[in-house]
Amino acid sequence: MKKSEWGSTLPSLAWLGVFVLIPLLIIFVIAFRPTLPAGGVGEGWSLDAVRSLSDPAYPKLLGRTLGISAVTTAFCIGISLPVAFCLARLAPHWRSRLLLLMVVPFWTNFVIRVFAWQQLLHAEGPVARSLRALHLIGENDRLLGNSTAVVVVSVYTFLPFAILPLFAAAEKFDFGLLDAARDLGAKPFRAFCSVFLPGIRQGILTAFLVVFVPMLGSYVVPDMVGGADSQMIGNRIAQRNFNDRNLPAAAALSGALTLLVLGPMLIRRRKGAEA
Amino acid sequence: MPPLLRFENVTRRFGSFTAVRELTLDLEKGETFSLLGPSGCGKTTLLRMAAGFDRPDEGRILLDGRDITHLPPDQRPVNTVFQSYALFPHLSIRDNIAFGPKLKGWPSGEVRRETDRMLELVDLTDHAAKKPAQLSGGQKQRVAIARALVNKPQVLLLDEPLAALDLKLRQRLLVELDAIHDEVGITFLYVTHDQGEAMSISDRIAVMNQGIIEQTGKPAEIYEAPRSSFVAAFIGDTNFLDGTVTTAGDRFSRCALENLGEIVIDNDRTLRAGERVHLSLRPEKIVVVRENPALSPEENAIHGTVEDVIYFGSRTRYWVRCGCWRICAEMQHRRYQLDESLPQWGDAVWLRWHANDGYLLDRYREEDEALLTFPGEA
Amino acid sequence: MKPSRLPLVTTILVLVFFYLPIAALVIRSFNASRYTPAWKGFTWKWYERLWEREDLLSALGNSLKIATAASLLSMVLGTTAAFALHRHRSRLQDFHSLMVRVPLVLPDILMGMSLLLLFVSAGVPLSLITITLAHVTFCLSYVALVVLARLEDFDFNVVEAARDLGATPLQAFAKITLPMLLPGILAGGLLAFTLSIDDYVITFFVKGPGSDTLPTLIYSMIKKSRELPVINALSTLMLAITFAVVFAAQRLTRKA
Repeated sequence: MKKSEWGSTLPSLAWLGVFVLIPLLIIFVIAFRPTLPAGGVGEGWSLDAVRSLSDPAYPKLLGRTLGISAVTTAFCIGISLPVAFCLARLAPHWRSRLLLLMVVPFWTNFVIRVFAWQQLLHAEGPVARSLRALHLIGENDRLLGNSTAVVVVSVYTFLPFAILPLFAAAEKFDFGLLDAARDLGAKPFRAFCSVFLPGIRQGILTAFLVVFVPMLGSYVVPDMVGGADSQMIGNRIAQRNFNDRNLPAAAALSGALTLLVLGPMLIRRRKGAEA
Repeated sequence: MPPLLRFENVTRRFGSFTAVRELTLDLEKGETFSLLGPSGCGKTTLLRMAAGFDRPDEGRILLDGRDITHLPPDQRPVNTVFQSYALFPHLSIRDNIAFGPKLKGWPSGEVRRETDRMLELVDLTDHAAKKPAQLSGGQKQRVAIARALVNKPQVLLLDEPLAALDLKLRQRLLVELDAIHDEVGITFLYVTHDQGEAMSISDRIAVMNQGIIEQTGKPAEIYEAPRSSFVAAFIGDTNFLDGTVTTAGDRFSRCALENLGEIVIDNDRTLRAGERVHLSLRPEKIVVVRENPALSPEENAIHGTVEDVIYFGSRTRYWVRCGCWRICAEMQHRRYQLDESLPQWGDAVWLRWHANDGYLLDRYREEDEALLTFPGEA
Repeated sequence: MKPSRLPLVTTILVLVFFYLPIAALVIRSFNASRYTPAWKGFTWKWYERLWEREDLLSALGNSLKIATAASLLSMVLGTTAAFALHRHRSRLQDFHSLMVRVPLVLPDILMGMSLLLLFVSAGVPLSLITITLAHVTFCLSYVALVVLARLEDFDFNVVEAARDLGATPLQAFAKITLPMLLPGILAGGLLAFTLSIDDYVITFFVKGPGSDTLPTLIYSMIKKSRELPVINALSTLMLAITFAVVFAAQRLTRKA
């Protein structure tokens, strides 16, 4: 191994080792520690925290987490595909302006963006009032406090993360191929599906990963716009940690979540090796 | 006088691939010397070793008698013009040119004077304050040349300097480059895969292939008297003929082509009867005529049928079937020839050439036939 | 044949979707109504109230300190990482690359939780320092990827050209490589800065008592439903600053 390679690799690798790798491993250690009554981690070993995972409420929590994440990811990619297509076909001049216009709202603080939605979907807010006036919702229906609100706001916060990789892939796509497909008799939608989508599949995969994986650990959005029946694993981890002061139980849940996100991340690794 | 730049038994390997193989080459002071060859022939590796970006595994490189084999690039009195220009994008044109002199610690007045002189030489005085991105390709290349020349190198190394430019610009810059060479009198080592560039700019050319030099000589020697099938096929187009010597002579010998009878060949080396020989015969040396011509003893004529005609404007190319041979000939049109109709597809014609126009090859390899734009049929 | 209008229509709807909540927020910041979004007349009073809240100012100070430190440190670490990833191909770099990419997809809550457990296990008291360490960790990856992208477009011939013209390796790095990469490194640093300012989840896990950043303070104000209109005013102000910075940056880059 060359000296110059170690010289440039060691600083970042050591940092990431200490602040990413070791902490992830510590999760699995703490999960087997006992809890102190005052809150905190005791000495010795205990299976209490891991056993707490057999809570009958957890399978439902897991299902909801996967469901909300999957629906959000599907919406994000479904909406981003035509947007990426549109951006890539625009003149460069318009493209860069539109791209900027899309990114700017996301330089507002994340918490504030979710807060803005909280107000927008408020029972006395403009959306609820309009829908009520059109009799699309009943007098007592709430827009906040349910899974739909969680999905809408999650789509809002994650959409740029889906648009950007898809746009990057679409920008490199040779649109002459679409003309060729049309020339060979494909209808526009068929050409889109059988030529464009395979052409940007790397972008779709990236979009899937950067939306789905972080979604699994979602916490702020369900906390602010969701209700009791739209809590996700992230909320339970925070609750175990901040309310119950039970670090080992929080660690056990985090460990389970880590194993859950590891799957999709390993897919990416294999795909990366192929490319 | 000793050579200015000398490669001595230089070998360079990359893993199992040998890029340059026991190569020896001398450059004389003041000449423009071209390394000509296809991509991957080792010419760029040789240039990079001269510049100091790469080091030979074996052999030495001498500059003016001094061994510079292991000298780092910043300590060599040679400079390079890169194919990609490699201009510093964050510096102005003036600062690009002044980069070397400033590093060498020239007094600021001299830096300024020399930079101005170079800007004038490459006709970019008006653009001195611009950044490279604001220049056209041709202008960038002139900056690259000025930036190298200002350091007064003993040898200027040019790595495919015109490859990124379009044809017309390439031709114009070639003329300018030649003029600059005449003015500064510095030795140029010019690497190119373009035979036209090499022919027009060089005092001497070395044709490289697979890490060795196939032939070194003046442009005319290389073209008119190729020593190997590679040189004959890589530079221009040619017909390869092979036959068996029937009568060996001092100056001219006779040789039998398969299915086609005997032809006269010019032999610059001693031949034995029964020896197998290979010949290169360039298309433009062959005259296509309708009538069986009256011949001198040193002339050849073979009978055939026109199979294909391609009109190029300045010339016309004919493919003529002669027995099992398919021979290419090229002719220019002259006023008087317009009176008679040109040979057409299917016409019976005679191909006529002088024995001096065919050239006996020292080395023949069958794979070189693939380099021809019109590979003959077996 | 007319090209399908669906992509363009979707794009426009997405833009409306993006700006709708923000527009509502800006309008509400001028609404005299304290508790409901119903319009009760125009007012500046929420902005006036903003000046009275010193906790907001100190939280903003914390955020800026952390973001500055985190972006500077991650610029150094991210740039060396990008050089290593670009220059070398080896098993080590495969692993290095994986480690650099993990923070990009790891859910925030796992990163926050695992770092909290690290600090608790190591007995490190939670403070502004622990927040900064956490921020450097995810900023590093973003800087590394931005600089790596620049390196991929970097024509290393210019470094050879500098050497050819008499520069030592160190001079070539200082006079050519670094100035040419600087825009990329600064862009990475700017991204790191905004990510650090923006972060709520990780900060919430590793912050000590009393060391609030702007997002954690705003969050707790929202949770307690206190002075919501003041948050609107604050958000509008931040939005205005963001737009001003983006606009200025656009003008500057166009001139350069």
